[in-house]
Amino acid sequence: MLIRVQEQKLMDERLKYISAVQQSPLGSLQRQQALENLTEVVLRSRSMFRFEGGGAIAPIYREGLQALRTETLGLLDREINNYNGKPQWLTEVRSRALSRVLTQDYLQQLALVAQQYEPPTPQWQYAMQELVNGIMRSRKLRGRGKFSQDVYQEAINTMCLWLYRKINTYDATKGSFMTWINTRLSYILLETRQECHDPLVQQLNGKIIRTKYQLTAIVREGLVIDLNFWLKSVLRLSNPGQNFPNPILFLQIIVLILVQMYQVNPQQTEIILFELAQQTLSLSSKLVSIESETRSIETIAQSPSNPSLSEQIRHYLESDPQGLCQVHCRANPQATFQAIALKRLDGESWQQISDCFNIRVTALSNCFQRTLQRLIPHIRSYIQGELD
Amino acid sequence: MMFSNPDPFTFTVKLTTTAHQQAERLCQVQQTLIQAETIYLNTLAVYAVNYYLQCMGVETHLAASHSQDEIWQLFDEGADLEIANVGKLECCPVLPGSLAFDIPVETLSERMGYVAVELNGTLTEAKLLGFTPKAEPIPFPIAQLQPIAELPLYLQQFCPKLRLTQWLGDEVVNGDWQGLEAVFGGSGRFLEPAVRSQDRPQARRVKKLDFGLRLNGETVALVITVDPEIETNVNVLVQVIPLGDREFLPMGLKLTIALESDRAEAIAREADNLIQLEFSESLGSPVTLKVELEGTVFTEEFVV
Repeated sequence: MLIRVQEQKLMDERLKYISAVQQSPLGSLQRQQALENLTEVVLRSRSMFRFEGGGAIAPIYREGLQALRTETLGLLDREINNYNGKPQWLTEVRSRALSRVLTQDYLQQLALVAQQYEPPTPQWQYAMQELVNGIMRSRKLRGRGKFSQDVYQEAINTMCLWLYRKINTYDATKGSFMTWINTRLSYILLETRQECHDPLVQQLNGKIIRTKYQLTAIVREGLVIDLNFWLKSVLRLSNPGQNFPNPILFLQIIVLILVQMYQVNPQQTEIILFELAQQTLSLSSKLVSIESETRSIETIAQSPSNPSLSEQIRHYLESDPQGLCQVHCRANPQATFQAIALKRLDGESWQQISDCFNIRVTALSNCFQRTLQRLIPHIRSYIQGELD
Repeated sequence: MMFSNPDPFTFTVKLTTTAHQQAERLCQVQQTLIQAETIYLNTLAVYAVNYYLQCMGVETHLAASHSQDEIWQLFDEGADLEIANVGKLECCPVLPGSLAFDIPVETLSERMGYVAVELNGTLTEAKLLGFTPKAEPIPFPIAQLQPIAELPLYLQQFCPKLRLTQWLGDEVVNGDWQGLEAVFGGSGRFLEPAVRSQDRPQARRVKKLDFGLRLNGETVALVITVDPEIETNVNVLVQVIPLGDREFLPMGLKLTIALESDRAEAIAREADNLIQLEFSESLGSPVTLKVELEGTVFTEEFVV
């Protein structure tokens, strides 16, 4: 939605080279040069073969990069006239070029190179990361088939962990690397399916938190916007004949206001973002019925749905049934475990509590944590006892 | 044209439904949404660091970490991950595009290090940006982080190595290193070393090494015999013996010993029922043993 300045500049560069290619005569030096420049720009944000300058790089990675360059240039050369005006077109070309470089054979070589290093040295980690990235982008990994996206991603994570631990058990004489990987993934998929819970059952608070976090990220990203530039480009886009700003423009203005607010008062803005997130979710639930949620909008709690544990802990602290909470920090007899814990439950910060009892924050929190460590088993068993 | 785009090495973890379910479970008990969000993000950060360390072969005790305990989370804003035999790592969630990150005050002591974990806007990916052994200055600038790739080796230096001479006085057998009877029973499989006359008792321990399904369930026993010290030198005998119903060791099985200034190796040929090496080193010297078969390596590090 929001156009960032850097992206705009990048697009201009790519457009410049694309038109240069399209307009130069076929086979001319000009065209070749423009193609090479375009390839450079496209490969700048590639995911593989990014080396730290100066280190000793195994030849296989340089070869991979060279092959990627060649393939990308070739594809661009042949298909430049299909360019549809969108930046994703270039990314797609790069992605296809990469999958052509990542043949079964090349992946096998990447695996053998990784085996030569000693875990967990940085060189080994680098080689393993190239290998894993290679597997993911090669389009040679088995698809998800009838498994859900959730289960598939879970299985991939499990498989990658297994690969990290067991890379040395791969034996090239016994078969191809990708066959070994795909066999393992299929096996893991079957195992994972049994463990995954019903994805429809999602806590409402989790949704609110995730929505709010996404808004926060957008608002914070907005900090890099050059305000003047943005206003000029937005005003240029909007229809001068319209009195009422179109909805997208309206939303962009709201976000802009939030961006400004965030700079001035982050805490207040965070509260507003939570409100926004909640309202967004209740709006979307009015439009689309949520099968798992039977509560009506009015009864959606403003706070998390199971505070009973904190209430039980509070009760324990206040009544101190086992008499364990009166132990205090050496520096101040009033700073009892009971007092500190209750203040923490009330949401006071360590700085505030430190000011109240006149003890340094680190000393205070150390003393508190040591006591908590000791008392937790007692608290836990007391609470269990209450439930019985 | 040279393509050199120096990029700091980072490790990205995909946050799956499992990770979010853990986060939801732990944030339920919080009293306000703001506190719930902190716990939610903390849990995702810990999940990511735990995954990374498991890939690196570092042993973690996730369940024993305070960050997984609902009661601790009511009082503590920290997100710790317990590392076996080392201590706690703090996992700090970071918003994308941040230049620095905050470290909660209650984690300033008793942490071996702090890992910065960038969580993307849709909370689908966690990127480990780097770590710092010390939490100063606060907020900590991202640019000053040590590369994440150095974290496993950094943690390794805290792991105390097993002291072989400790076995001499220690009647209690525990962990991976067991007494002979536990592994061999009364089978008489174990061969006494050829010439040994001892006034004082030796200590002998065995560890089972399982090469797994791929190698047809090969299991061997690594037997270490430690003689009491003569002046400051200790004699140690290391043997590898087949287990299960095999009479001979798999061909090509290699035992390597690396000492401070020396190394030796022994390789099993066809129909070897034992390979062994021995050495004599002064107290406190480091020893590294490796038992290898077809690419699978077991490494044991000791101090004499």
